[in-house]
Amino acid sequence: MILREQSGVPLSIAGLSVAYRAEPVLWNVHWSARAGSMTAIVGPNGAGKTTMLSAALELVPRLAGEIRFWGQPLSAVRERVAFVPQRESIDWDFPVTAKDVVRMGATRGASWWIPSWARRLSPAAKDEIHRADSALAQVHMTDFQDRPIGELSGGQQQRVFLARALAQDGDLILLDEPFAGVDAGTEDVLTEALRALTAQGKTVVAVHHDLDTVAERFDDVLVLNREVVAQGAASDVLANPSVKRLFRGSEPEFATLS
Amino acid sequence: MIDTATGSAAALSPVELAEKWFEVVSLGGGHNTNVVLAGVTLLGLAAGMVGVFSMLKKQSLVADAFAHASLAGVGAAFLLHGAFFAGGGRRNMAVLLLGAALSGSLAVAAISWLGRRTRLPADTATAAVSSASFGLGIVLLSLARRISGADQAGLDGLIFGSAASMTRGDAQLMAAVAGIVLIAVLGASAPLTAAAFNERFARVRGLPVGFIEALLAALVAAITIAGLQAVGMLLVVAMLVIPPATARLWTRRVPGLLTLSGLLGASAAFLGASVSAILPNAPAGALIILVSAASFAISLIAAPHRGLVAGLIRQRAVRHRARAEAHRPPRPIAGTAPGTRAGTGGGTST
Repeated sequence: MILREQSGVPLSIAGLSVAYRAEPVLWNVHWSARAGSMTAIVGPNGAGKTTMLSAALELVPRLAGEIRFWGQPLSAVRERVAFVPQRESIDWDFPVTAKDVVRMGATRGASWWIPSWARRLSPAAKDEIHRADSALAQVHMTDFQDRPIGELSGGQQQRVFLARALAQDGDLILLDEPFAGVDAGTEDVLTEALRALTAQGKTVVAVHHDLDTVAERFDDVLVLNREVVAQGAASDVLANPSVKRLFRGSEPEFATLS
Repeated sequence: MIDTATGSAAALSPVELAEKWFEVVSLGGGHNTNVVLAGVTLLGLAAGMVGVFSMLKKQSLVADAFAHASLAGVGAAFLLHGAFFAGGGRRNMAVLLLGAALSGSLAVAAISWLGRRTRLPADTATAAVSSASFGLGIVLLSLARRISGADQAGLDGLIFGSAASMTRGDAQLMAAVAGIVLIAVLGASAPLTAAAFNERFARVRGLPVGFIEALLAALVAAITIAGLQAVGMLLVVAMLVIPPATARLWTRRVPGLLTLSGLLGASAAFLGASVSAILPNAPAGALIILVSAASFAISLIAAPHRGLVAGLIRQRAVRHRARAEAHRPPRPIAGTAPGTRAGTGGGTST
């Protein structure tokens, strides 16, 4: 694979294959995100959507393939890449408040190793607090910032986790099922916040489960079913017969497409 | 052991005992007693804080396995030491503790390997390794007894703990280890919290998650080893587990949880050790754990929000409201299918 001048490509994946034990879950995926766009990754259950994000973020080992962020490895551009994991991976009884969670997104580099009581005195603290507070405000969660996360509704929890990514102030946001199990109000708040990011030239990539809403919320679509089935502008991809065939009757939420 | 304890207690009237206890807690029990008391209290403080992160990572049982497995190392170290230094019998605490640390670490490594490489559930792997290594420890220990009958007490002391037999040097070493652990926990509390809360996120943020996990394991190991002599390998785990569990009932954020857990651990240690100082044969470890367990029981009943009484009151209030509502006509239903997605959208978390 020739890596051309890629400094303008937020995320490019070339020849990516991943297996759990001997079971391949992703095979030879080639795909790049378009800068300033919002892309949905869709596909049936077990298609490897989450695995693709995990592999890109070096959370699972890959068999083959190359991942580049703006033409560089992740380690060189970590601060620019933000991540919102799946709701299921969180322990909701953990003793943290909404504000604590968002602060973790705002904390950078060496600040981690300064204990919280001493961090107030550090020069970076003001900037961190500011970024955390404005991220909370952006998802309308300022009034709930002192609640333990377990006492928030599912939608509010999802907003807090988006705020954590926003507080990092990265240029590429990767989200795993941000719209799963949230209320309509939160759907709008999330979409608005993500749109605001692309308006600033930032790039959003989200695993998405609801094919009905893909076209209205996203610019581009990547359809995965272990391999890339289709990719491109949302309207083109959704009109593609092989994509329709893939989803027909496979899952209730996709059935309405045909 | 217990018989003699009650025996000596019977020799003194309750008033005399109370006077003696006041003498000890006001640091009038002699220099040696004070050093042990201070060391155990510092150990309780550090254990309470480290234990918070074991609890948050749901790894309390790993600490238990480490402690159980350390017995095998003690036995092996005793045998090897005896074989190389023909004197036999004479225990060398540093060698025994080193053996304990090695075998404990081996057990934790084995548990982690089983978790990664096999489909064994984590709790099964932990219990299997823990009991197997404890069995090995018992065999080695009985061999050690057979070979050199001398100084069993020193080895038994490591199982059940004997703060009374600690030398000033032992206590100072324990205090030093506890102090180092305390500083490490305070310094690394933010990364430890982040890695325990959301490991994938911590990795993506570039935190050295592998190092943080190793650090936590090392701190747990250090507390366990440091506490072997005073509290004993079977009970030192309780110092890591009970104070955090108690503190969690009263707190909702990590900083408060850390502080309260440390204070609970320190005060239980201080109380337990001071009582054991006036009842010479009452083991400090057992007393510390009993004090700790009592505070847990009280908290479990009385704590706001998470306590049993508070839970019952909330449950009653809800039932009351439901019954009151039942007498009123139901409100008209607003919509059908799409209505499930609208609304305030709680639900999923409860």
